[in-house]
Amino acid sequence: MTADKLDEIFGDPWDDANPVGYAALLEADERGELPAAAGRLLADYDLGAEFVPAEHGGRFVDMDELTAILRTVWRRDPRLGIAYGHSGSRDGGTGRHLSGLRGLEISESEPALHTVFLPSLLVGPLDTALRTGLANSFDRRLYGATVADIPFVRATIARAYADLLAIDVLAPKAPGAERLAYRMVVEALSSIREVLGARALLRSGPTAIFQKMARDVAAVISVRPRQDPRARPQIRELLRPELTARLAEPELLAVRDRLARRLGDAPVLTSAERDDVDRQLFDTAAARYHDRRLFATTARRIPG
Amino acid sequence: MNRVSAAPEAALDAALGDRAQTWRWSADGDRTEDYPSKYSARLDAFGLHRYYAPPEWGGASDDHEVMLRLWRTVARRDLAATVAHGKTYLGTAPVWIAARPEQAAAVADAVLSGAPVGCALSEPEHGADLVNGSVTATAHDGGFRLEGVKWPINNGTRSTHLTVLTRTADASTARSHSMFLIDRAALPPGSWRQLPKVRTHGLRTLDLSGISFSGAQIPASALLGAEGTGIEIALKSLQLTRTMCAAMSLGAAEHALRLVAEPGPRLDEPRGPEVVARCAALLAAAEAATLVGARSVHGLTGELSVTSAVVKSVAPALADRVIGELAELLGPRAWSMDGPGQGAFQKLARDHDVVSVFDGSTPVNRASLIGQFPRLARRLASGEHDGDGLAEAAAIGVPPRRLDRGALSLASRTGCSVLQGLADVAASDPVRADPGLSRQAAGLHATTLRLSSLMSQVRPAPRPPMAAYELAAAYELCFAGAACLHLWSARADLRFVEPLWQDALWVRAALYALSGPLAELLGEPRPDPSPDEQRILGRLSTAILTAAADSGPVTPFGTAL
Repeated sequence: MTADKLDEIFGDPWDDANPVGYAALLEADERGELPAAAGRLLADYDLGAEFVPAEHGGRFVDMDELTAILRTVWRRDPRLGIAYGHSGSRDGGTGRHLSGLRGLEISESEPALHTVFLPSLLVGPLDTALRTGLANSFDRRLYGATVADIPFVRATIARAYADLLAIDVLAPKAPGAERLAYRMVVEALSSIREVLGARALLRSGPTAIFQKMARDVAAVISVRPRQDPRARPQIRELLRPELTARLAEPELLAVRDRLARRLGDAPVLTSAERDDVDRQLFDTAAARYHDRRLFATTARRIPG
Repeated sequence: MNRVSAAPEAALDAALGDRAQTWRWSADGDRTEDYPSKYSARLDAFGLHRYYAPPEWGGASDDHEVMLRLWRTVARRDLAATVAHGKTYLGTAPVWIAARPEQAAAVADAVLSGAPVGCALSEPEHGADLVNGSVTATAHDGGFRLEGVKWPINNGTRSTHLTVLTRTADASTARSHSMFLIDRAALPPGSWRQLPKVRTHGLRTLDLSGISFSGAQIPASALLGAEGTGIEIALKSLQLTRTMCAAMSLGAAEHALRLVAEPGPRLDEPRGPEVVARCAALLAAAEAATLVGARSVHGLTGELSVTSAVVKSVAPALADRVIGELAELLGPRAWSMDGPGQGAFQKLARDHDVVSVFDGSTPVNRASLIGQFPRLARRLASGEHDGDGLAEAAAIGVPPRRLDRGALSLASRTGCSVLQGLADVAASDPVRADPGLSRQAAGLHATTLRLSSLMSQVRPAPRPPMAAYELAAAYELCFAGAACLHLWSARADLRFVEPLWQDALWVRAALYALSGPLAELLGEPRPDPSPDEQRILGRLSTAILTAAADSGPVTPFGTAL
């Protein structure tokens, strides 16, 4: 898979010596500059070819493959996804400097953001945020045990993971889907922030990437055309069957329950069932974290 | 028909001066990350620091309602400057609880001369887990020797005095720690080291740093209270400071609301007025909970183990919701460095991200609430409450009784009178006089009875299940709703003089705004807004947009700009 290849070229994001790792990307962000080394890497890789069908000399296969590649870029740094992750020239007219996506001038006609698939790309930064939350939970001790032993933390992580899966299997064009996806991304980030506590707010150290991802995601979402809040989505229209087929039973139940509660429908799970599902989803998320696999349904192996 | 006097806030707002100028300080500070010295100088000149010492030690006043209002007034300009200045209140809270007279007199001298005092509770590996704190104070040479790292500390570099929680016994129990008052100038050189400023996402101007002790000798007279009472002193201090933290949320949310509601091109979205109304309603609920909380410091002192945990969770949560909804409405202008107020929105949003974390995060406060569930559930069902204390907590603007710190208790014996008094206030004349409000109050009361039944099923455990945290969050929202009703009932006369009070507008909108999140937490289906709710929100939006255009108050107990 090409996404695998790109991940291999990018290398371990948590390695402080990696010129395209999180430490280097954060330094560039602090300076308000685009990360030069990562830019060169993507230019060499010729990311633009991923948008061009094979018969025209490119590498485009299908949307799922393209999504996997772009998420790899967005997982590392959403700014790279915007600066390089699009097919045409990036001439968005006059833009604004936002508190997120530093180093870019962002306009509402930003080509990389001009896609209904955007929620799907946000699975990338959400993966990084969730991974940061899990890493901190396993590394940190509080009240005589690791943070990951606290039931509140486990359930919160389980639910953020369920939200990530829900966005992964969402049908992007269903009425109301896009706004719902953004709300889920923002709320999942808030949940992870609760788990990280004060560490969510630090601009240095192993959790610093969290605040950058949260800022960048907020900036990205804000640029999308406003969605009609009155559209009340129907769960059965929201999910893509070919993707939900990849979910294990507790995952599917969790996704349906999360969506139902957000939409103001009756919950899918009883309180006891929910406890059970939360436990199972935490274990899966923890296993994916320890095995260095993506949290999304592909569960692809990644460096790090 | 007396309006609530806004004199102290108005005087402070005037002392802070031109808003354009203070905003330049805020914007510059956020960029350079320098300490907000110019703000501090103005606040000192006003005498705000004099509120941080009790009157018996020469301070200005111990009226926590007034202090809350003052902090809110600063916070709606700059949250970081408020936290930087107000930190002396937390730093000294252990002193007024436990100090001997000569210690209190020395700290009062420092505070009244404008010296910053810090509080060193957190440690790098323990955070809010105070009982497992590892900085030690070992008896040595007639005094104590300190060893270990306290981090992060607000005003960790600038404070002349620090209250420090340290371990004085090996076992980790409620009595293994002691509180010390340290005069930094008296620490032997070379026995301690300053840790650098922490770079943070919001509140960038704070002196958030730390201190590392390596055999620092302090005299025996530095001990605050008896040996082994450090955790108790810390928890009682936090009851006061957690309640007062809510001022930050009120200020930030009001700032955000004004940035959106002031005349300009920001409300071009068709549903803009509706969002503004919903946010104003949530802010009104936060204000009610917070004012009742601050007055409970005096009227219901023994219940602060509950009240402080509730207020510290619910005010930031409601303000986060307000800021989030307004950000969605603003689109990229929310995060623009030169958007509304030249980047003010993105700054206040970043600054406020920190409020739900400091002085005990929301999960920490909810856990402490859950620990008190058995009694809270029983009393919520029975409705017994301290009527006199509750009346004092709701008597906005009336100088309260002196705070009796001896009445602070680690676990409330009477539960939470604010919520337990809901049935009575729902049956009070001012509530019954409005049929729509009366129906909403009865609905809220019915919800609290379902809630008490769910709470009673939670088995006490050192690590409560997630479901208990959701019940705690629901309890907080019910508290906010009850606070709205108490304040309405106490001051329904204001309906003749204040636009937001006409036809119970604000309290009805607030109860509607709380009902959605409450249903979600309790796993109950949420119906679409009723015509009555839409009508109420429509009227509120008109009132808020008018008030914002006139720079008038945008909350029921707010003040003009």
